[in-house]
Amino acid sequence: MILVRKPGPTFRDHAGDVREQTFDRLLTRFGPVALWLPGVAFMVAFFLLPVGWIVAQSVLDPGFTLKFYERLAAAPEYALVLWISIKIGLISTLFTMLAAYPVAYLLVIAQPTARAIMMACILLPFWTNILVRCYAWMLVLQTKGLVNTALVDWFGVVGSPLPLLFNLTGVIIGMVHYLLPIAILTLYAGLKTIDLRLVRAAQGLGANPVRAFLAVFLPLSLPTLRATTMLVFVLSLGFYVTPALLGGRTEITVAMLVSTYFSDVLNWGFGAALAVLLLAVTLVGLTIYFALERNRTRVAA
Amino acid sequence: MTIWRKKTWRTTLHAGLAAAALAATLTLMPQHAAAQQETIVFSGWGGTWQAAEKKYYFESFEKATGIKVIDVPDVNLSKIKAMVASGNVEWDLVQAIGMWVPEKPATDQLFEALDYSRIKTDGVPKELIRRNGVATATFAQVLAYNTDAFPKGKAPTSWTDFFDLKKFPGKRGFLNQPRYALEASLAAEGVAKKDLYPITVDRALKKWDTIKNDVVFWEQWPQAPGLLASGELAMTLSSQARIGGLLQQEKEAPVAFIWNQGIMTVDFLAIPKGSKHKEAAQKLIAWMLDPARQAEYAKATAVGPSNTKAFDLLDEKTKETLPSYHFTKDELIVFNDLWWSDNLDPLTEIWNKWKLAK
Repeated sequence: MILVRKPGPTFRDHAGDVREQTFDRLLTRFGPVALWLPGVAFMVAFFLLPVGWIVAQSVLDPGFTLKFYERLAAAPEYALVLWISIKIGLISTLFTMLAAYPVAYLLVIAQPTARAIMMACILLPFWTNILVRCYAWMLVLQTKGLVNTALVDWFGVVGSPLPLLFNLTGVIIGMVHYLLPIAILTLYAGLKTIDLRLVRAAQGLGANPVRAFLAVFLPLSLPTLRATTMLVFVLSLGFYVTPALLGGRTEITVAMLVSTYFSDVLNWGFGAALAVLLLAVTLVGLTIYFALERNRTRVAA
Repeated sequence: MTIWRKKTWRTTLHAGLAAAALAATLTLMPQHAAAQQETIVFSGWGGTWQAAEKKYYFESFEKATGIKVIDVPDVNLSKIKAMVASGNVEWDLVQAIGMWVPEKPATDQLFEALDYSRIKTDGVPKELIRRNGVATATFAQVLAYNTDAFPKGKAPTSWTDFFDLKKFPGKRGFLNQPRYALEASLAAEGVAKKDLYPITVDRALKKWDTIKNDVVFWEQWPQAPGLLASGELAMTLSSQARIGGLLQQEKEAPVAFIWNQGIMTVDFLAIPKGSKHKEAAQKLIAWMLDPARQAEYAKATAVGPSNTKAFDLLDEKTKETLPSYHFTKDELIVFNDLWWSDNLDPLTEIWNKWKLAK
């Protein structure tokens, strides 16, 4: 209200001073609010509202009903699909992290030029459409694709083509490829804050490079590693394009079913119930993770 | 600090105001333009088929009526449902598969009833004129095969051969959906075309059990021709127009298909409920039902016309490339989209259960 007050009849500059002081006081008091307000508004608009809408869809038809959840519980296949999604998520997270950690470490210790080149190589696939990547993998992984031609015809490593496509292997390859840039960039952001002088100090005290890495760098990187692993796993639960295009008959994920029931069958209630199931599992996983993290910090303190 | 903060604050405020003004101008502009020229949005399947629709229907329509047609790909029923539910209907005309427009109360919620006093339908078969949609094109989902795997004289001739791994070894491909799959396996069992519906699901799936581990269930139609040409699949379901399209692009591609027991499907034109350009959309429907234009479109794409009068304008060679011709020769199974629209939900669950079982 003070902000919009017209200049009073008093000395003009003085009025301006008063206004400015009031403004400053308001900014000091409400400035922090102004800082987190956009974030909260964003979360409400783009996260809470859609999630609320999904939850509402899953229990309304048009009055309150639990029939969609009853249908979920009635067929053991949905539990199986959930297990398949988790299994695919765990395996792809494992391989993603195994591949991402060394790359992130190299990024940290690399010279600026080398790092820039590496970054470009990491980001290029990151910006490529997921459908394009899946179709590219189909060409590479099929029976007469690049990999099998190389293995069988050029090097003669294997006698007959390996089954790399339309099975679990294909799904994992496609998903790891998608998750890698995300994992590498997240890991790198955390790892670069580790003071490399500590590693050098360890070496100065007589540790060989391997020991210095294992005794100093690795333990310091564990919190980042855990957080990134969790992030990658949560992301991996939501995949539906990759398993649908590169998977076989039994690679059915919850996210694929959500897509089917929303887009093809148009049973939004059941699709929403499936989505809520996936969300619930994710939240349980996150809760366990944060509980463990808190415990760890307390013990450390 | 104070000065810096104040400046930033003011700059932000100014920038915000400028952005708001810009946004306001941008939202006002299309309305202004619309006052001069009416624009309707058509959503179809995209790709070469839609490019041909633009060439043979939309461009001439725009010239004749002054109504501009913006065509967008990836038509999708759940997007239409979302648009109608939110009251923000962006698509004025859509290309719909038959399952989307059965004559049911639920369909009336999603699509406008068409005013047939304004849409001339002479030549379109009566059963393809529905309350909320009228047929525009016909397709055949056929058995396609790799000609290297099965050379002339040894090629498959029916769905029975598709399910016979001994005589016709090699990987099979099929759409990852229960529809077409159940028709194909029953046809393989020798069920007559007229006795297919209502589908006996158990029998159909039992037949699929016999080749269960030798099938790739692909997700998207464009996958099939490529996988077939590369030899990854020896036989697959595909659409006759897609295989034809591949052969047009690459004459040497080792692919072929058979008409026998192909499953004929029909696409409809429909207006999402609440379209602000219903009149213009109906004009475009009438335009797209014209036999001469449908004949030109069919020549270019091998997609069949819905208007039978179009056949009078086509030579024998072109006719043979179209589904309707083979339908008249009693080679095709007519896909019952009304039966499927009633059974899609439970059958999707049964299908996934079947896929997961060992």
